[in-house]
Amino acid sequence: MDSTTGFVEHHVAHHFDSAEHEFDAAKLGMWAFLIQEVLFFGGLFVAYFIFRFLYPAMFVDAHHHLSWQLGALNTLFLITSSFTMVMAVRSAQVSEQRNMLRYLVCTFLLAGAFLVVKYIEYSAKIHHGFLPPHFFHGQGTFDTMPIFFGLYFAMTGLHGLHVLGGMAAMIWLIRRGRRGEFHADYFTPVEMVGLYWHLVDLIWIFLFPLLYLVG
Amino acid sequence: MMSDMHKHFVVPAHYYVKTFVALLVLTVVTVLVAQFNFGKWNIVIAMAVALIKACLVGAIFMGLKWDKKINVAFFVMSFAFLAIFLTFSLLDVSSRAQADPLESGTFNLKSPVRHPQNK
Repeated sequence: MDSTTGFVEHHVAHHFDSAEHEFDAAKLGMWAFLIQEVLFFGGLFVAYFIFRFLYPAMFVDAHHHLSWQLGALNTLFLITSSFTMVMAVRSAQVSEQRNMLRYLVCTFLLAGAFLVVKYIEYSAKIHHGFLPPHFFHGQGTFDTMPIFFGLYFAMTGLHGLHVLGGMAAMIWLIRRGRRGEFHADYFTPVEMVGLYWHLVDLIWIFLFPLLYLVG
Repeated sequence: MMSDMHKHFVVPAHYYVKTFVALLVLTVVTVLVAQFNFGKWNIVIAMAVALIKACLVGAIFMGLKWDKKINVAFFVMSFAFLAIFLTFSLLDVSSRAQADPLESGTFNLKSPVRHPQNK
């Protein structure tokens, strides 16, 4: 890339044959990380299904204390953010820097909106004492209800931390993108953060029906 | 530097727009279906719709449709192993104490996992 376009030229690290080689290595590494993420969350999903199998009536009763409307709103935020993220990656691939930055900012704001809704939900749960075992002091029909809220906070909490991590990565991308580091010749970081972000969305796609719509 | 990154395939934007619309429609379907009671089928329907959504995100947004087959194989395998983990865990929990009633005891463990009959 020459200086007239305002883009920063990317130098392939010396231990790679070519830019393609470098990109493929990064991508394989990213997939390995995402596989780890699937198994990381997997343990919680298995715990969910075991307890759901043991206490089906309690799960149906407990999930009525969650607002499916807020859950659906958050699903909308995350799906839209996944779309804006993929468009940011595409903009980087075709060297449209302004569009890429716009889409990244949109993704960041949608992620922020997701966490605001999560904050509202958590406040209500904490206020009513619907907390994990040991902290639980809510009013419920079943004495096993703290198990549901333990799972709820563990699963959505871990997912929320991933959203927060994604937002940090987004700031990193915006800062580098403003310097003109991403273009058709080099967009590896944008694509990798994109993959991570879609996985965060993918996990929520399963969390939403399991926690909010089990009835 | 004209690198070989130019060979990278750029997915036409209409794929992303259509996937986005499909995901929104399927979210509405999930919510609507949840308003009716299909008994034991509730979770099956919910999981089936979630699985379709997950496949759309994986294939189009994550680009697995155009990615190297080795990456696709890796990602699919992670879910396959998760399925093995889930299946055997549920088989264990659901069949406890069927061979010998002793198995249903918790033996002073603080684990809340026990056979439903001994609640």
